[in-house]
Amino acid sequence: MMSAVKTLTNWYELPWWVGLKEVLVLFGFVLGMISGLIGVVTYRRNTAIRAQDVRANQIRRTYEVMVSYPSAIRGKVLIVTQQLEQGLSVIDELRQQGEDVGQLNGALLRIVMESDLIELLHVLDPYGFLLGNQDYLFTNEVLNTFASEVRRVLLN
Amino acid sequence: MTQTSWLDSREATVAHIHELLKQPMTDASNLEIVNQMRAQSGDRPLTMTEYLDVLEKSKRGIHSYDEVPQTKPFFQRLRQALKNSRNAFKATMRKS
Repeated sequence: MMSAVKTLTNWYELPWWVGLKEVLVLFGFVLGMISGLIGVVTYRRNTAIRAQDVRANQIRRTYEVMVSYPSAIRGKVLIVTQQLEQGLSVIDELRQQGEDVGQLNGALLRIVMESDLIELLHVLDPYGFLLGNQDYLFTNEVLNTFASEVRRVLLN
Repeated sequence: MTQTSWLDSREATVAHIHELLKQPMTDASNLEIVNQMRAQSGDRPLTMTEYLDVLEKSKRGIHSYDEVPQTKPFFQRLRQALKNSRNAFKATMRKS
């Protein structure tokens, strides 16, 4: 019995075992740090992928809503979008070429007047739609933009 | 479809905008257009003082659709002002 205890104590205090224990503790710390880092990175990547899926779903649902509109309205949306986009790009170009900013703002105002943007907004009623379907308020800027308008409409 | 409009090509758009730029763009004419658009959407028309007020506020960064109707803090305004003056300088140099 005593010799067994002596042998075991001898084995426990052998220099190669003590050295190995020290090395394991050291490397254990380093490996623990690395595995923690990998875990954090994986969690963040998975969160990003989940957010991407949610956003893609929202975009797909919005596309389905847009496609379900009657073709006359879709034609009008196309024309107004084209007018505004082309007008804006040409005005941007002219601003880079150094025209007067006040004149360009006046030109932009007249372009918006000529395109039937307001009729289109009356037909589409985006505020009413977003009031009824708040799931589609997924852009922070859109949310901030419409919040005060919604308050104004509801309080008046 | 047989009508031509300024959407047909980029040159037509550029020509149309040059025609618009030739018009006199005074505050009064701009206010007239803004009031026409407001009447289309059911808002009351603006008076000249209100319109100039709104223009001033927009230049300073206060918009009517913002939740926080106040100017941004000092250093952001400073950086924006420096950017504006830099762009104005570049525009003048490019023109001459």
